[in-house]
Amino acid sequence: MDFLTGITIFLVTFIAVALFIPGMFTPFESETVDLNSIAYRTSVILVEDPGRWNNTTIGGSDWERNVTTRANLKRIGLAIDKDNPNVLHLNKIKFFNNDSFMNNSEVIYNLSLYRRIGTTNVTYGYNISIVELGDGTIIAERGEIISSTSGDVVSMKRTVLAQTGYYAYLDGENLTQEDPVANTKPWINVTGSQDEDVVFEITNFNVTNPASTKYQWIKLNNSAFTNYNLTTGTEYNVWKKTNTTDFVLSPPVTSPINRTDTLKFVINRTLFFAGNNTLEMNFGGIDFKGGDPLEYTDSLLPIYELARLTVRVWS
Amino acid sequence: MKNESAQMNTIEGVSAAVLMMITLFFVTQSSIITPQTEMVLDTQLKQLGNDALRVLDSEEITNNYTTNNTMLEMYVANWSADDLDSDLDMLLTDNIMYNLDFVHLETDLNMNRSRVITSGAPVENSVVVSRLVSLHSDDDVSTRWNLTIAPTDVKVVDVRLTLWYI
Repeated sequence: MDFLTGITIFLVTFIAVALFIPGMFTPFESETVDLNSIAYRTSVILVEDPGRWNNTTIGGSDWERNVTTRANLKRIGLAIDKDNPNVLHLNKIKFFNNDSFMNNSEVIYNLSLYRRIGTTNVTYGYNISIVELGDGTIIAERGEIISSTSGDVVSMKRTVLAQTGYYAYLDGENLTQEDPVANTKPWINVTGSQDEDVVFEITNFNVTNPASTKYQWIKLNNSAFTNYNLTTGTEYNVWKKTNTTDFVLSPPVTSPINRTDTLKFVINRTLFFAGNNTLEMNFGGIDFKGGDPLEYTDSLLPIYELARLTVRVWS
Repeated sequence: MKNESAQMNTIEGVSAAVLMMITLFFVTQSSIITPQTEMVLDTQLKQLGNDALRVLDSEEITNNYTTNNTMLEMYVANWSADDLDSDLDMLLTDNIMYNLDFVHLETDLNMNRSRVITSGAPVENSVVVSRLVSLHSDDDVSTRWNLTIAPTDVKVVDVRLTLWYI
């Protein structure tokens, strides 16, 4: 009887302890740890690393220019270089976002979004997006749509500067016009068809008649158009920045134009074709010097937008 | 003799149970159980704070032509608390509050800490991120800094951002 009492007390406590132990380690469950660290790791690879490619002889981080065979792509990193983390390269984003350049399973294997169980690879669900902070424009999105069946989704958010295009910054004093026909009509040349909208800013205007400064029109000459007057809204837009205001979308005529004002032109990329595309603008009260048109593609600077890169992973 | 041995069985059972309970008690008390989710939230908060300062301190954000200084360098030199506040507000997510300090060494080697942005008292699980910014003599240094920088000298300011979730 005593033995029975003893063994009962022992067994009851033993079972209670045995049941309690797994609960003790709930916060350290491996599944949660794995997913969080995978989301973190993926965000670091994308945001802070410029990536890596190599073939049998050479290699580098400029994979967006050199990868013709995807087997040569060793790592997908989006940073412009290793010294500039959080600054993402336009073409790297484009290639990353291009389904035909790399399909879903290639992204999964390149970013190691899977775990190995026995001899099979079990992939994680993922969704990676780059969204502009201001207006919420989606710059890139890869992966699957999160659904109610996705289960626990873990995420890692990063703030980045994503390059969204190029623009030319032109000094009004250097801008040329077709001498001697008119001195208020500067021209620039854009060589070849364009992947992105043509964007240029002009400032430092040589104002000769302050009372009559104005912008009038912009015309295009190329293999498809002759002296074609571009339409605002659909084909191009002009923004104006002054000393006191940031860029404001302006109607075609923005008067007056002061020396320190900046005009920004954004012209639809579909209007440009192979060969020369010459753009001629017409101002009033502003003089430009004579000479051959400046080449747009010679003076390009990158445009960066603040954006949020979010990595979401689920099992 | 027989009875004593039987009692021993009971005593053994009870003492084994007590031993197990005491062991369990010590194990649960001694180990620091930090829920994993909290650690992840800290990492996320720290990452967003570091990203915000890093982005503001990158040359690319100024779009290359207006100045050689980064936004963060200009804000610190000009003591532009409002501009810095509105930029951080945009860069961080809505559920984050923050305080910002400028910390620098005075000429008499005293550490000077100035509160620049105050959103409230940080809560228990706040994180601090920081970035060093150098002020040069040719920067447009605000009189609030109350210092003169020799042409060959630089003044290093530690920009400290304290973040917490609301």
